[in-house]
Amino acid sequence: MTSMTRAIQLGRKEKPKRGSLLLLIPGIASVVLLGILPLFIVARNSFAVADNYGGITDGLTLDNYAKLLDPVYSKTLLYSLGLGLLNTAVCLVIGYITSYYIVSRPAGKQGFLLLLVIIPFWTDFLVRTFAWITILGSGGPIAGVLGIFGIAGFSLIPSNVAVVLGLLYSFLPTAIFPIYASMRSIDGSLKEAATDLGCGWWGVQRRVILPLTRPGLLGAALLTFIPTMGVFVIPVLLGGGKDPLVGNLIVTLYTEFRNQPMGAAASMLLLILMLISMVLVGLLLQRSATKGSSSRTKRSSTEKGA
Amino acid sequence: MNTQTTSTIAPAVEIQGLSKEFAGHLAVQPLDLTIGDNEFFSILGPSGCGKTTLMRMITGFEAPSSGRVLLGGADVTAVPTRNRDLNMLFQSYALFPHLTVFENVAFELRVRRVAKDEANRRTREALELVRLGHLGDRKPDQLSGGQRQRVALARAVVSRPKVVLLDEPLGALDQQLRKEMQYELKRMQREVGITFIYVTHDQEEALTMSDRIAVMSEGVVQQVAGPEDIYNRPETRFVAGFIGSCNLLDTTVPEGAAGDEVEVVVDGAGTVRGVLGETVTSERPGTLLVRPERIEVRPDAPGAAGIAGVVETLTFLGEEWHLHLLVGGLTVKASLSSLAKERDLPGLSMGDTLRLSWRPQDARIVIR
Repeated sequence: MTSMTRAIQLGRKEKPKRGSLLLLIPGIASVVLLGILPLFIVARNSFAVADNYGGITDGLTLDNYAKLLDPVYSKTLLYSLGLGLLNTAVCLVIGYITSYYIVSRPAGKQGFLLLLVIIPFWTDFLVRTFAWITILGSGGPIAGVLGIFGIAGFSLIPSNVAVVLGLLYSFLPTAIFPIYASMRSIDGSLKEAATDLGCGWWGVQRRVILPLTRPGLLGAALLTFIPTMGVFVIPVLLGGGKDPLVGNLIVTLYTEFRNQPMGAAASMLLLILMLISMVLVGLLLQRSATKGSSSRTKRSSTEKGA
Repeated sequence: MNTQTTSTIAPAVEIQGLSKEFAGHLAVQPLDLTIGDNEFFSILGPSGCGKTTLMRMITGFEAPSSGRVLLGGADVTAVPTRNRDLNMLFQSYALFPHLTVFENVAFELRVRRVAKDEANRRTREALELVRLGHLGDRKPDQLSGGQRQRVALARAVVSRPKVVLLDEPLGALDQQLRKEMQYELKRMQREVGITFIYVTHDQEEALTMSDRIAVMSEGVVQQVAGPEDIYNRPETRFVAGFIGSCNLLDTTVPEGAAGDEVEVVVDGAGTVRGVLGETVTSERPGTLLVRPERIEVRPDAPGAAGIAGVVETLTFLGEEWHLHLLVGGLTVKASLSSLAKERDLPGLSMGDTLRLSWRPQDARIVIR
């Protein structure tokens, strides 16, 4: 026993040696080489000047960002923001309902239902998008059924409806997981307590389940909103490329216009939007955590008044 | 929810032929129960006896398979939980973690749209009742177990419901706090004048707090009586064995036996006497129930009255001694106050022979 305690003491006293720092090198190297360095290059390029052959000359300018304000580009930005918000809202609503259903099933069945959500999530993004072309297209089941009733020539490809459906389908799993995770941890007796204290179904949702699912909902919003704007396959394949998203804009700027600095600027813009929404979500989470202290000041003032 | 129309004469809760079946198994057999206004009523039984199911049928969380539940004289069997004039104190307390203590207690008043000033006043009153007026701003996870329990109680009584059901509320507390809370609960129940239905497997809790106790086993109410009657006059073998310590001596009740001094023969112990609560028309198997502390033990002397028993074990518990005595082939438990032991049997040791006897009124005979 004494040797064991000595070993523990030794283990505590020992400072990390060179050996353990060596072990950290692969991790640090991959973060620096694959994450920080490319990001730095993109950030640097966004201030650079493009030459006529698609290359980058040195120089420092804000022109690339200024050009993004041009109506041609800002229209895409606004459209992306709108579509991102719409997709997020719909994903949250459907994600909430789906999670609520899964959580209410017996524990044994929940795993299976989650698997049904996960399987499409594992399937290749492109394959799933092509599947929607088949479903919504002229040869698909909807067109077939409508054909029986004599409505010929139905096709939703390309259309904005198809884009919205495609985005929803793609991001629903990412929305469901965090919502499900926070909803599952809610003690079932809370629902009964709320019912006992006079809440109907809607009251239970509004006063208990929804506020307690808030962290999951905010997480889901974060995972849906920004990636939606960065999507470039769906607007092209399902929407015919008429209304591009920021993702398409970046691809176009890099590959077709051969204007790397502007592409970099658009990428940075997306990154900034992401950081802003993360900060917003962080603030919202903090607010829900300190909600008690704000209502304290409110109450003590009414008490003084009474 | 306070309904003003309920008559004051009607009992708080009436249960008529209520039963619950789960997948072919009767968790609660059809039973009748009447619980009076302002009564502290306990439903006592081991886990799986159906007490929780019974409670959940009263609250409306479970729909009964048959029978009716009346609250203050009105049939509420088909009324959803939220419209029943009762509240529940959950075993886990079920406090809303996202709300402060004050908001938790005020919850029902806000849901039922009580005017804000009124709601705040009543919430403060409820918090004062449980002596937590100073902790209104805390979140539940910043409270101790005992404090959480008080918040849950305040939340349950704030709307002055007709009935509050308590589901083993002291189970999660440590021993000392539990004892304190027993008296506190009783005090609060008297103060608010609300019927408490207290569900527990802890006989001590039930005996300490209750006006009346219903002892349940295997979906059947075995006996409904005051704590003293439950303890001293158990009507079934189960009640005697479940509550406190009791000698259960199997015997045969002769035909036509009745009255306060029925003689029965217990194998190994010989002829003993006890109270038979009913008249038997034919010979029936029965059990003689006698509590260890009701057995008088005396030194064995030539010609002494009582049954002879040999001391098998002798245990000192502070205020009293516990004895296991071998009587014929049976082991009989007896207890002896420390005072009596010092006075009458100072040199008692294992292997000694003692004489056991009890007054007929201290033993009960029940039909099996």
